[in-house]
Amino acid sequence: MACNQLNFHIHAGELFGFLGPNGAGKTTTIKMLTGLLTPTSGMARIAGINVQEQPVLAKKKMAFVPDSPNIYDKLTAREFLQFAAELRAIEQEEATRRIGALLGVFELSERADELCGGFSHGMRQKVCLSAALLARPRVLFLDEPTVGLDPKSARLIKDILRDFVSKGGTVFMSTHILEIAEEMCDRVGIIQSGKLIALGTIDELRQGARHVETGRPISLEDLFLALTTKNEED
Amino acid sequence: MGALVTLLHYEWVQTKNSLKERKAKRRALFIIVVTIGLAFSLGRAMGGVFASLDRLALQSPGLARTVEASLLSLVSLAVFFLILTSGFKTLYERTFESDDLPFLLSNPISVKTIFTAKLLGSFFYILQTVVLFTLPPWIAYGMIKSAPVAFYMAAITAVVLGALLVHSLLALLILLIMRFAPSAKIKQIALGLSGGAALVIVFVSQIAGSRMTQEYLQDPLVLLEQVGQWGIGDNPYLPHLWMSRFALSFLPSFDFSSWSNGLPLILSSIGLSYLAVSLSGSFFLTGWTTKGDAPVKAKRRVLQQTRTFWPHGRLMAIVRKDLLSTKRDPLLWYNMLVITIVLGFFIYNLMSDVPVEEPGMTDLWMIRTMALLMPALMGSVLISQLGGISISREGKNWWFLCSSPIEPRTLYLAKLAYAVLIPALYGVLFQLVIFLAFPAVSFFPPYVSIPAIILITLAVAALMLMLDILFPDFTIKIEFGGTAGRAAGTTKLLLSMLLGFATLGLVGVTISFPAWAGRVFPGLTTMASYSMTVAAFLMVTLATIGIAASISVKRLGLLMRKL
Repeated sequence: MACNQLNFHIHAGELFGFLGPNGAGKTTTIKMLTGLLTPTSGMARIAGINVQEQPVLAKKKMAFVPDSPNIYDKLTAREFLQFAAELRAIEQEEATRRIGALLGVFELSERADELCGGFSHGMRQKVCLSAALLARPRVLFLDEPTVGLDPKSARLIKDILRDFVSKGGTVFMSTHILEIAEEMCDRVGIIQSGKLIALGTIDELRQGARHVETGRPISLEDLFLALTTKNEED
Repeated sequence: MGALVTLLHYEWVQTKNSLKERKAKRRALFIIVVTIGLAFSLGRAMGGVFASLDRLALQSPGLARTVEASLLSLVSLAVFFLILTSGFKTLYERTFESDDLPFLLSNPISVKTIFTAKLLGSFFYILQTVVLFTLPPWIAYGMIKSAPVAFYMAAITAVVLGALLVHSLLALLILLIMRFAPSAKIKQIALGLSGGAALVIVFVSQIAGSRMTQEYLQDPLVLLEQVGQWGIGDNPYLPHLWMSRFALSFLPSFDFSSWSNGLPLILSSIGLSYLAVSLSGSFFLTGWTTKGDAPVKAKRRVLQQTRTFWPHGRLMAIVRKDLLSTKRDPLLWYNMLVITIVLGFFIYNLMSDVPVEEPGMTDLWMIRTMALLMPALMGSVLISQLGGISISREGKNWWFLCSSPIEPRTLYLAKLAYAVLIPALYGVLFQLVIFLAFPAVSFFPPYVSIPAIILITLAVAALMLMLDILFPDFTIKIEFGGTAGRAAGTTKLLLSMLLGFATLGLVGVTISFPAWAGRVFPGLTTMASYSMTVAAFLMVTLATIGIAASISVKRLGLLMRKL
C-alpha cells in the first residue's frame, strides 16, 4: 500500500512542504489530492470540494505541476499556454494578457513561438508552472518543482511561489531538498512508507530535539534522518 | 568479443524480462498468432500463383520459369524496400537514441563494440518483419517444386544476407550523416527520402494494378509475358538477383551458379557490415554527442490571426490542439499522399471502365458499395494511426488533460471529432468528385452518400477509439518513417486495423444487400430490399457509435483517475 491512514489539513495561504525518502508515497499522495488517482478509501477536500465526488469542480480550484514536465512537443510554448487557458475557460483577451505576462516573468518571451520539443528540462518546467499559474488557482500542487533547475531558475521559481502565497494562494509542494523546505515552507509534513510521521512548523518539529553529541539544536536534515530512521526501526 | 557477447546477452535479458508480465505475455502470444496467420496467408496466396505457373509450364516451360524467376526476384527486392522504408528510423533510434548509451559509453568498452551491439540489435528487430513478409513465398515455391532442404537453407541465407547488406548500407549512411551533418534538418531529409521511396512503391503498384485491370486481365498469357519482359531477371550485377539466383541455384530446373551469386552476396553484406563497424570507431561518438543540435523552430505566428475563426470551448480547444500537432506531424501528410494516390487511381480506373450500358442490379449495388467502402477503408487506415489511438498518443502528456477540469464526455467527443474530421473530409470530397465526374454511373446521390460516409467513418472511429480507451498504451510511438515503441504498440495498431476492416466488412454486407437479396429472399420487392438496406445500415452504424461511445465515456472517467 503506497499510502495509509494519511490525515492532515493545509491552511489557506500556506506553503506546505511534503518531505519523505524515495518511494515514501509523496507523488501518490499528490495524485490522490489532485484527482489523478482514486484512493481505495478515504477522501480529500480541496477548497471545500470533495475531489473524488466532484473532480472537475475541484480541478477548477487547483493546478498541478508534475516532477517530469512533459508537454506537447509539437506545440509552441504560447500555443500550449493558450490551450491551457481554453481548458480553464479563461476569456481570450484576458488569456492573451496573462500569457504575455507569465512568459515575461519566466523569461520565455524570446522563445515563446518555438516548439516545446526543443526545450530543455528547465524551460519545460517553467512552461508547466506558467500553465498552472495561468488559471490563478487557489491551490497549487508541485511535485519536486526545483529538480533539474539551474540556481537562477530555482531562485525564480522560489520567488514566484512566495509571491503566490503572499497573495493568498496555497502551495502543496513535495521536495527532496531539505534546504528549500527549511527556507520556504510555513509547515512541513514528513511521510514514510505511506504514513505521515511528523507534521508541523520546522521549529515545532525541532522543539526539544538536540544533537546527541553537541547538545545544540539540530538541522532539518538531522531531524529528517532521525525521524525516518526511528520510524524504520519501529 | 567478450564485451559484445555481454552486451547482446543483456539486450536479450531485457527483451525476456519485458515478457514476464501476464499482459505482455498475452500480447506477445497475440502477435505470434497474427504473424503466423499473416505469413501463412501470404505463403498460400503465393503458392496459388506458383501452382498456376506450374500448370502453364506444361504448355510453355520457358515462359513459366522466366516468370517464376522474375517474381522471386521481386520478392528479394521487397527485402530492400522493406528495410529502406521502415528501417531507417529503427536503426537511427536504436543506435543513436538508445537510453542506455550514456551508461554504456561511460564504461570501459570500445565504441565499436557498443555500436556493433546496437547494430545487431536493430538488425534482428528489423529481420523479424523482413522474414515475415519475404520468406513465405520462397517456402511456398519450394513446396510446389518439392525442393530439397538445401533450397530452403539457401533461401533463408539469401534473405538474411540481403537484409544485412541494406541494413549495413543504411548504418553507413546514418553514421556519415550524423558525423558530418548532425542537424535535425538532415534527419528530416533522410526520413523524407525514406518516405519518398515508400510513396514510389505505392505509386508504381497502383499503376501496375491499373494496367493489369485494364489491359492484361482478359488474357492471362499476355499478363505473364509482360511479367517476363520486366527484365528483372537479366542483369547479373544487382544484389537482389544474387539473392534469388543463389537460392534458385539449388533447384535442378535453373542453371544459376551458387558460387557466382552467393559469393558476391556474402562478400558485399559482410564487407559493408565490417566497414560500418570500422567507421563507427571514429564517427559514432562525434555524431552521438552532437545529435539534437539545431532544434527545429516553428515559424513565428500571431496568436490572434490563427484563432480568429476557431470556435471556443474545452472541446474545440482539444480538437484544435490535436489538429495543430497533427499538422506538424509528417505522418499525416505521408498518409494523405498515399490515400490521394490510391483514391486517385480508383477514380482513374473508374474513368477507363465506365459501363456503356446501365449495369444490372447486382453490378450497380456492388459499384455503389465500393464507392463508399474505398474512401472509408482509406480513412480507417488514417484513423488507426492518428485519431483512433489519440488517447495513447497523448503519451507522457496525458497528465495534463487528467489534471485539467474536463469532463470525460467532453474529452471523448473532442477525440472522436478529431478522429473523424480528416477522414470524413476525404470521404465527402471523394463522393462529390465521383458524383460530378461520372454522371453516367448511378452512384448514390450526395445527399445519401455524404451522410453515409460520415456515419461509416464515425462508426469506425468510435470503435477504434473505444479500443484505445479500453487498452491504452502511453508508450506507443507511431511516427513517420516507421513504427517504434513496445510490442504493445504493434498489437494495438494491428487490433485497431483489424477492427476497422471487420466493421467495414459488416457495413459492406449491409449496403450491398440489394445486390444479393434476390438470391437469399427470392420474393423480395426492390422497395423492400432498399428499405431493409437503409434500416440495417442505420442500425449497424448508429448502434456501433452509441455502444462504443457509452463504453468509452465510462472507461475514460476511470482512466482519468488512474494516472
